[in-house]
Formats: sequence, structure tokens, C-alpha cells
Amino acid sequence: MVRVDPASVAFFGLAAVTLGSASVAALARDATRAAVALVPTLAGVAGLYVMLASPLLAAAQVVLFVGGASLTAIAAAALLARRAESPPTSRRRAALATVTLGLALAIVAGRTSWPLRASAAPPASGVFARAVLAEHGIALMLAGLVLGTAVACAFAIVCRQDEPESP
Amino acid sequence: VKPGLEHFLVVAALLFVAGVFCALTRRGVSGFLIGSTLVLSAAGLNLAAFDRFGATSHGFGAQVLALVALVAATGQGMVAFALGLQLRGREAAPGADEHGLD
Repeated sequence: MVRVDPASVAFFGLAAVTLGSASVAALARDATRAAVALVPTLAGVAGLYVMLASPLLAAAQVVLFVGGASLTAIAAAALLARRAESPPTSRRRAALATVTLGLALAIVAGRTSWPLRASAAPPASGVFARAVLAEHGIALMLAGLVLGTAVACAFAIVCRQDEPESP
Repeated sequence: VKPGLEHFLVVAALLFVAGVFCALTRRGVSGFLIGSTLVLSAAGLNLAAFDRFGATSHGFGAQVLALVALVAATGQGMVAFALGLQLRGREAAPGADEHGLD
């Protein structure tokens, strides 16, 4: 009897959702459709973070990317969509370049013998929380500051009124 | 097959490629936004995978770096969107030039 590992099923399912919707986002001719396809991609990446025992990253991915950035991208695509794509020749060149790049990256990732950790057990979440708050509190504060500054800058740019030119 | 480091790296590589293709083939703000989001997600996935499986990782530094990159990506998305709206408004004004928005 064949034993199916639930972790493998979850990984391959999440990878299929992530890569399938990412390819729709990359190949769609309509910018709004591409932005909508971004949502399952980012949700799939959040699921992969959970599989990698990174609950904080998964939560941030859902809140910031799936909830915020993807909505921004959809709004940007819907409001700013006009000339959606490059000419076919440049599209073919880009496809050739990116397929070559992807093959090279996949071969390097798959064939390199990376130094792996001896114990494969994930750390307890309490250890993670204590380590993050104790050792990386400043980095988290800086990240919050960057986000707050970006929000303020975005508001300032949108609300900026051009002064009329003097004759 | 139990998923290991190589599996996550291959998924991240393909995600990165999709992002590069999107950024190369679409003109303007929205293509850059979507492509850069995919590329940064791939980077975050790589960082989390090395933090989980890598021999040299300790102290969750890679996860925190991925979190900072995620926040920076969200910030740049918002600012790019705002700039796009501002340029769109200028372009809509009578007599304005082309700005190459998407």
C-alpha cells in the first residue's frame, strides 16, 4: 500500500496554486486580470511560509501582501490600464531570456549540495517569538517606520496639487 | 517525496522568473508593481527556506530580513501607485504629454 505524506501533498498543492496563478499573472494580456491572479499567488506563498515554520512571515504576507499590496495592484491596474503589453517581438525575447534564466536557476538550486541543518525539527513558536522580540526588535521597529513613511509619502503625492504656471 | 530545501528553491526560482517576465513584458506602473511583487515573494521564500533548512542559519535573522523586505515591497507598491495616479491626473489635463502609464 502506498503511503502518502500529507506534507508532500500540501507542498505540491501549494506550489501548483502559487506557480499556476503566477504564470497567469505573468502571461495575462489584461493588467487587471493579472493583478487579480496575484492574490492566489501571494496566498500560496503564505501557505509555503507556514510549511517552513515561519508563522510570523505567513501572517505578515496575508495582512500586507494579500490584503494590502494586491488590492493596491488591482486598483492600479484598473485605474492606470491602457497599454498593457510590449510588442510580440520583445515579448518573445523576454520569454526566451526568462526561460533560460529559470532553467539555470532551477538547475543550480536542484544540483547544488547545500549545507543542511542536522536537526530538521522546526523550532517552537515561543522560542521564535522570544528571539524575534529580543534580538530583532529594532529591525521590526524600522520596518514599521518604513511602512508608515511610505503611507505618508503616498498620501502626500496623491494630495499634491500642481501650482498653476505663471505667464 | 518529502519537501526539502531544493523543492522550495525551485518554486522560488520559478516565481522569480514569472516576476521578471511580467516586469519585462508589461509597460508602465502596474506591470512593474506585479512583477516586483512576484520577485520579492520569491526572495522571501528563499530566505525562509534557508532559515528553516540551512546549516548556517541561527537566530531567525533571515525571517526578519524577509519581513523587512515584505514591508519595503508594500511601501514601494503604495508609493508607485500614488505616483501613477499623480501622473495619470497630469496626463488627463488638456495639452499634457504622454507619460507611458500602464
